[in-house]
Amino acid sequence: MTYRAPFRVRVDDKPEPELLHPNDAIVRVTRAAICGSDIHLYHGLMPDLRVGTTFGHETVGIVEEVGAEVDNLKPGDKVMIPFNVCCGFCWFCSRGLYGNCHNVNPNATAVGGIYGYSHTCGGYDGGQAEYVRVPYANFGPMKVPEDISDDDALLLTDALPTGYFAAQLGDIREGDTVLIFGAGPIGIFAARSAWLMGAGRVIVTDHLDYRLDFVGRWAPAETVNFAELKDPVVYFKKITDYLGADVAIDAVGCDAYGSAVQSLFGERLKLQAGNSVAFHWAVNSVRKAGTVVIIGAYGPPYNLAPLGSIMNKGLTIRANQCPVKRQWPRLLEHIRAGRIKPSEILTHRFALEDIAEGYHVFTSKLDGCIKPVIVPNGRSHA
Amino acid sequence: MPESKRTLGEDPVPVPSHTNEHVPVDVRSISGWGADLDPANRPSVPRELPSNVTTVRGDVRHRQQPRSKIHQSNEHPDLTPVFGETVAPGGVSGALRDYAYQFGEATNRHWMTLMLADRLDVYTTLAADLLRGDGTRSDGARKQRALIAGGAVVGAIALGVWLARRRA
Repeated sequence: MTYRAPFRVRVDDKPEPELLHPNDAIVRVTRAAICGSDIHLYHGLMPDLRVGTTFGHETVGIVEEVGAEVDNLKPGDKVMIPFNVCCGFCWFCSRGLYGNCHNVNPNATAVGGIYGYSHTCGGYDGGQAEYVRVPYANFGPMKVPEDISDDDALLLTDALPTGYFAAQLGDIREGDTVLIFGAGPIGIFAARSAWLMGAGRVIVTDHLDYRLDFVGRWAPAETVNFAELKDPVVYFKKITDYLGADVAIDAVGCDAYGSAVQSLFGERLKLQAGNSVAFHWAVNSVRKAGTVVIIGAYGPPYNLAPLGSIMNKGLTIRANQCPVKRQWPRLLEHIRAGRIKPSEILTHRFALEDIAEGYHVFTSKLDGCIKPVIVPNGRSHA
Repeated sequence: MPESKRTLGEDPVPVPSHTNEHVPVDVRSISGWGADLDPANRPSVPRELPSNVTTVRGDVRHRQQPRSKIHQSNEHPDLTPVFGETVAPGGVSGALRDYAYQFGEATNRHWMTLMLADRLDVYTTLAADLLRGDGTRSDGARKQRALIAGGAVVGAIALGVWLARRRA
């Protein structure tokens, strides 16, 4: 697929990727997912997003070719590819901060490398294609364990680790009330993970009833449709005995819904990096000295932020791109123990040829869509 | 509800109709509850692992050779060992990107110029698609609306850049 303009993607023929570095691999994609953060690209909210870019940072596939320095993978291996492009040996990677790798993104130092996520994130083509180039293949990808399904592996490349990481950033303690903004895949996995970390209450808010129904049953979680409320923050205070939540997680990012002013300046006029109303509500709904986690994606350059409330409430703000590879050992244990079955959130499959329809269904929240999978050479069905 | 809550007066917030009844009363009955209560079970605790690496790049052994123009943040001391080459900069939008990368990541001029370049890139693509009648899922009316909206956005961003430059 290639990006043509906001709300417009299409399938194009592009040259197949080549080995450009001794530690590269070329992977034939067997499954790719459309991520909620791809919506930010689809809406044209990331700077330096060039027409012709191929999206996709959640990928599973078969190794076709490896560079001379790659010794842990061979052609034919089935691999899951973390969304972070990362070297494994820079100052940041050596400390486990794979989302902050300094060796893979010449265009910006504030952001690491991400497949298919604009030149601001390194200018890499993504996995919503037949083939993808994987830099530092000796470090990033991992062979899919035999007892892990392809669909579960796909969700281990971003959505599950990111949701789980969000709960970790919250430093959840036993009995904490955790309030999650957004019932998309990240919010759903963050809700499930909050229980693993001992939360006492998990509340998820969104404006889409079908997603609230799902997370309410699946996580499980208390759910609130904020669109029915005049002032959601007051309601969240009320249902937490006017204390506020201990931890609030913004799992929405820059494509939020719920503020006309933010939408005008952030999404329509592009005068800030999208609509940050979820972050505003998180700051205002958390208790004093609580923790606000930003896991929803925001791009440069800047967003309006309630700095006075953050300072006066003594809040801790935690955020980062998830270091995916670091989460895998523990998450594989959870999957094997039956505590999480990530593929249960998959709702739709689209052939690569139908990807424009896939984006339309996902971004317009049609047909009960929660998480769509792209299958090159596959058939489309819900 | 404790008596003190009633002193706040009439409840200002009605309960939304969408409520959930699936959370067990005893959350400890939820499968896996507390499995990672101990921070030792949380893979990103501590945030930073111990390391002896003291340089920002570490031990770089090989470098990818660029085949097209690669823009570089002026906060990088050199070109990174690997990089993407998705789309080489070109045309007017490419010239704007060249200009944008002269300025640091902390400047509005850098990011707003990139956004302006993106809109120009899109705008010329839409115009070319319209002229060619290329197939997408969009219909003609939607394309026209997109063109008009794109023009408005380009104008707004250009105004923003102009104002930022006046202040700089």
